[in-house]
Amino acid sequence: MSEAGPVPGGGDAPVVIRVESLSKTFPRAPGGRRPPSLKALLAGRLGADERRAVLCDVDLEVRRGECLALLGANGSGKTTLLRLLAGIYRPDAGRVATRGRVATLLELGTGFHDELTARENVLVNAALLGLAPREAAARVGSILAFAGLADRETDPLRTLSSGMVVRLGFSVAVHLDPDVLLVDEVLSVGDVAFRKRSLERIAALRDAGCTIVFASHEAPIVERLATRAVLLEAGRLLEEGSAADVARGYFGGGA
Amino acid sequence: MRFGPGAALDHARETLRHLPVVGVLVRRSVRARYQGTILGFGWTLVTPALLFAVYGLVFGVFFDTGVERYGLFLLSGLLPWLWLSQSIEDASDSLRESGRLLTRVALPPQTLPLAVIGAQGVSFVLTLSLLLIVAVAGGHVSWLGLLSLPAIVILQAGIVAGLALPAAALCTVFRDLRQLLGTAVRMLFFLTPIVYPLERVPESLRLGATLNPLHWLIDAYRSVFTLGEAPAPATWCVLVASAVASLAVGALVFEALRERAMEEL
Repeated sequence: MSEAGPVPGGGDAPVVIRVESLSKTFPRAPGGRRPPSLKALLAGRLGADERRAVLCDVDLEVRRGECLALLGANGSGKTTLLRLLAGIYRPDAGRVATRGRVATLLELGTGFHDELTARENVLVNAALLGLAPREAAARVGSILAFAGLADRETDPLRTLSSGMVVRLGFSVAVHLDPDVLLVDEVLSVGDVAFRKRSLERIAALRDAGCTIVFASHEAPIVERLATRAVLLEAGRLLEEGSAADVARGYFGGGA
Repeated sequence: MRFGPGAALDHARETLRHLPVVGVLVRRSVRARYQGTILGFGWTLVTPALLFAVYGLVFGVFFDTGVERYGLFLLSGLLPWLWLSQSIEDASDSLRESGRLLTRVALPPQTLPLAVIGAQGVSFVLTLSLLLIVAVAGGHVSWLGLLSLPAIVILQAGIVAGLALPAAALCTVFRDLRQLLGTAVRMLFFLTPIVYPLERVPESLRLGATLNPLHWLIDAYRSVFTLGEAPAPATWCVLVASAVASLAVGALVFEALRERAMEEL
C-alpha cells in the first residue's frame, strides 16, 4: 500500500499496535503466597488481595514500519509487555490490539527437542510460532539454508553445536514473514559473525516494513535498529521519544 | 476471568483453530518419546501387557471373577482405562512441563493437555487394533460392533478431554491437587467395573456403580469385544451426554483458571 512511506514510523503510517491503559498484575512469589481459599475461588476473587503490579496504566501506539526499543532495568516490565503484545498473557485492565501476523522471538528455538532432527525441529518450531504446517514445509529448505545447516538436515539436534542450534532458531523466526515481530533480548547471542548477521536481518525486516518491538540492554543495538524508544520503570512508561534521546538518557552520556 | 457459555464457545473456536498445532505437538511427542530406547515404539505395548498379566493373574486366577474369556473382558476395559488415566495424569503435568514454551510463544495453553491426549490416543488405538485382531480372529466381533467402535473412541476422546483439561488447570494453580490426583485416579480404577463385572457389585450398591459414566464407557467397549454387539441405545445416550457435559464443564473450568495457570508458569 502507498502509505508505507520511505520514513520508518512516519506519522501517517497506520497504527499496528495500540495499547490502552494496560495493567497487569501477578501473584506474589509462590513461596510467600498463601494458597487461595476456596471461598475466594468461588467468589471469583482468586488471590486478588495478594498481587503485585508488573505493568501500570501503559499507553502506547506503534505505527507500521517503526522499530521500537523497550528500555529499562531488569524487572521493569519489558518482557511482560512483550508477552501481552503477543497475546500470551491477558491484561488485568486496558486493551492490547495488534494488526496482522504477529511473530515472537522471545527465545530462540522454542520447543526444540534434542532427539528430533534439525528438519523436524524446524517444522515443530515454525508451527508453534504460528506458521501453518504446509507453509512450514514449503519454507524448511530456505530456513535450513539460511542457518547454514542444509547438510545437517537429518541429524538429531543434540549432535549440533549450541551455536548451530541458536542459528537454526533465529532462522525460523526471520522466515515467518510477520507484520509485527516481538523480540526479547535474543539479539545478543551467538558469535560475532552471527550477531552481525542477525542484526542485519532484523534491519532488513524493518526496512521491508515489518513493525518491530524489541527489548535490549545494549546501546549499540538500540542505536543501530530503533527508530523510537520507550523507557519503562517499575511497570510504568517513564519516557518516550526518539531512540537517540531515550537511549542517551538511559545508557548515560557514554552511549 | 471469563465465565459462561461465551467463554466455552470462544474456547472451542480457539481450540479448533489450533488443531493443526496440536497435531504437530502429538507427532513431536510420539516421535521423541521412545527415541534412543532399544525397544522403541514397542514400549507402548509393554505397559498394557504387564498390567494385563498381573491383573489377569490376580483377578482371573486368584480371585476368580467367574467371567468367561476373562482375558478379552479385562483387555477391553483396561485399554480404554489406560488411555483415560494416563492422559489425565500426563495432562496435569503438561502446563508446568511446557511452561517455557507457553510463556514464549502465543500458544493457547489447552493445546498441551490436548496433545497429551492425542499422544496417548496413538498408543491406545494401536493396542486396541491388536485387541480387535484377536477378537475378530476368535469370532467375537459383529459388523455392527465394528462400526460402532470409532464412535465410541471419539466419545471417549471427549470424555477424556473434559476431565484432562480441568485437571491440567487445577493442578497447575493448586499444586496440592497434583498430589491427590494419582491416588484419586487409582481409586476410580477400582471403583469402576474394569477388572470385575458389574454383577460382582452387591445389589444394594449397584445403582451407585451405574451412576459412574466410566462404567458405561467400559460397557460400550465390552459390548463390542465380548458380546459382539453394538452398545445398547441407553449406553449411547449416557456416553453422548457424558462427553458433552464433561467437555462443557471442563472447558469452563479451564477458561476460568487459564490466566492464573499462565501466571504460575
